[in-house]
Amino acid sequence: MSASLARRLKAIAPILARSASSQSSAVQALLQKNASDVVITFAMRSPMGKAKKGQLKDVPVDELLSELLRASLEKTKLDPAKIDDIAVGTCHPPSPLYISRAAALAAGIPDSVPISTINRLCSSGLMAIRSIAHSIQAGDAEIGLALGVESMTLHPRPTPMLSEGVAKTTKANDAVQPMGWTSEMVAEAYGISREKQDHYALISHTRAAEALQRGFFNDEILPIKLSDKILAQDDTVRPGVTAQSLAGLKPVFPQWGPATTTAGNASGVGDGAGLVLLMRRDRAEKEGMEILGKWIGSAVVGVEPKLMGVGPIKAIPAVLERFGLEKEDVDIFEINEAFASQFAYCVETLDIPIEKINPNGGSIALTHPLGLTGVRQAITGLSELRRRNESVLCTSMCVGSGMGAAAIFINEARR
Amino acid sequence: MPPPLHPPPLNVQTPGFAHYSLAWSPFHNSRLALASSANYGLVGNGRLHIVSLLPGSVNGLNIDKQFDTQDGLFDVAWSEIHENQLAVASGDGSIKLFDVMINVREGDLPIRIWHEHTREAFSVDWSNIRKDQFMSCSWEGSIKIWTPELQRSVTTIPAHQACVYQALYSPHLPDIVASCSADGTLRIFDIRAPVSAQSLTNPVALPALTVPGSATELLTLDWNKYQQFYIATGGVDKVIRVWDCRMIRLGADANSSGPGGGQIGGACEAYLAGHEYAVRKVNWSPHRADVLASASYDMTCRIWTTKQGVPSSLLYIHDAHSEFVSGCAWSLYDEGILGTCAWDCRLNVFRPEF
Repeated sequence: MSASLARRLKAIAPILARSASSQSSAVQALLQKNASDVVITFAMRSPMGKAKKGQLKDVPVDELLSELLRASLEKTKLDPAKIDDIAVGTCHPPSPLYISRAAALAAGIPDSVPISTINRLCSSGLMAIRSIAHSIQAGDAEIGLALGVESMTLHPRPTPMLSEGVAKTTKANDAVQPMGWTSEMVAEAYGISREKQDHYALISHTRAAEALQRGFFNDEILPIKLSDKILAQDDTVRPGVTAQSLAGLKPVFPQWGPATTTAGNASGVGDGAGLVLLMRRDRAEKEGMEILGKWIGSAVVGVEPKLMGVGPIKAIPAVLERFGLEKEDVDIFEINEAFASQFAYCVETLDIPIEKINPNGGSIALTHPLGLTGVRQAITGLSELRRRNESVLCTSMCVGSGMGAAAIFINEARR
Repeated sequence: MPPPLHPPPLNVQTPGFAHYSLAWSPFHNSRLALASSANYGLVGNGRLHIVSLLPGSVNGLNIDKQFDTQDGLFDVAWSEIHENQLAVASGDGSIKLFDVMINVREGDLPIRIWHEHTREAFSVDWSNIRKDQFMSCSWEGSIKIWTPELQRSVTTIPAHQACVYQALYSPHLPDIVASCSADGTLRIFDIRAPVSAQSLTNPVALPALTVPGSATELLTLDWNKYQQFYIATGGVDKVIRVWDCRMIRLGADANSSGPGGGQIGGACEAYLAGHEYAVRKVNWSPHRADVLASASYDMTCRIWTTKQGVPSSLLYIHDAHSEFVSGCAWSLYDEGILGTCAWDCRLNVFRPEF
């Protein structure tokens, strides 16, 4: 009797929990629709490729950008002359502004449309969205494109060099160290074991493999033509990852700290690009564009450079507080998995149920093309909210040199 | 001008017994059956009610007979071959067959009991093609095919690794069944295909088609009565979707598509959003190919059209219930008559105007 009662209560719990969750007044305020809102009418990305081996390994950044722009214009039927501004988030390609401008012109965007590039490392894509959203809010623009792009194959992180005088300051020196070192420092400082890191890595790999199998990424990938091939699927997800296979991997940074980071519990290295089209709500309605969601706002913070991975622990509460939200008000979190060490520590410190975080896997499984990730999190999170018919997305990432960023988006679309 | 007055729905109450499902008789246009449970189906007895329409009487509906059961009743299906018989699915996993005419005393016993499901049996459906056959599904993940003549099930299909909430025969093809589950998938099985579990550790039959229908639980499905392989689903994500599954390969091809099992797919033809809580039941009109009704935990029953190019796909909202609406079913004889039942212990029968 008691077993069946427990079973029946459990069966009805998700129905009641989901249905009866009354939205807080803060959420209700954010759900309101005003003519001056910054809305997203299109959010898609290229397929991603494994660095050095994958489908994008030979594709230069200008070509990737240009083809994504061309495919997006075709798909949205947007007259490119109506674009008021473009921002591209990208980290390491040389002369990023020149190649971005060239890519836009080659994609058929008229020379009257200006462009800029933004680099705040792993948050660059989010910063591009933020820059365009702020321009629209300020009245400088009505329609803008935000892109994120990175070829980790062709442009890996160049080693920063400091002058002797600057390097004397410990934190200054910490700020330019390799990311793997910061991962080991977080693992050491907070005692994040190899087992725990592998546990969180396995969640990412498993969820991504299942999402891939269920075709979820097809909702966010815009097939693009590159070197005469139509590419429509990521080649980065590795189905079949197990706890045993993760446990068998050798440390990649044996020289630092506890040496717990492996190729299986660090973010994958990959290439890719994504694009978000933003405009004022009244303009979107005038243009007859379908509205997918709404930009709410963001927060950027600084943290100790040596422990760069803890950025979300400061950034997420900062953005929630700005808009009067509790973490329970958020339906999905997309928190970047730079390394399982920092991700595990962030998840457990923030005390958010893992069910709400990266429901279709994160950068550990999907890869982390630096400039793309901030854009991808918005695309992936909004796509999952559409699928669930839910509303509030919070994206966040740690940022190299010791920073964090977070943003809130609202889904308004149905699948 | 005052708004047009709609007559109030015909209405009958079953105090203390919350409704789980209703079914119209395929033989008599004024008879229906109601599956219900004490304590909202969480613990305690079940009761099957036989109800008839009495045009002209005070509330228009009369409870003719009731059968009590040990555990809650979650679904009911009328026999397609015997006008007085009907099968019920019970919380203790048992399937029972009652005969309305065997009328000895209050709380009459069933004429057959099958007890093979190990968890709650949640739906029963009688084949309207092979009229001696019916089917049940259970939270242990299986579908079972039965005939009243045999003491044991004819076939067991291990359909899902999670609760199966509903399983229904295709109204067009005798060997094709569809099921939906807490795992979020809609599956179509060809019962002629041998039940070859994929492996000992993954004992699930190979579906001819798996539709990843929702990121959350799928609670209900229904086959369109006019278009073959059009299936509506509803569930915890509050949305009703209509799937075109005509790409399915059947018969000898059904389980020959390599490892991993069957085809995966299904084109989402319609997306009907509006319910504010989970969708508990969907039912296509037997008279119109584009019309379906849905019952929801938001305490409404809604009527939708899947026609393209209409101003709104939502045609009508029935909000007379004061608790979760658990069942809705179109009359098989009188076009446009709908029955709804709910946890407020009220059965409504009415003609929605749209």
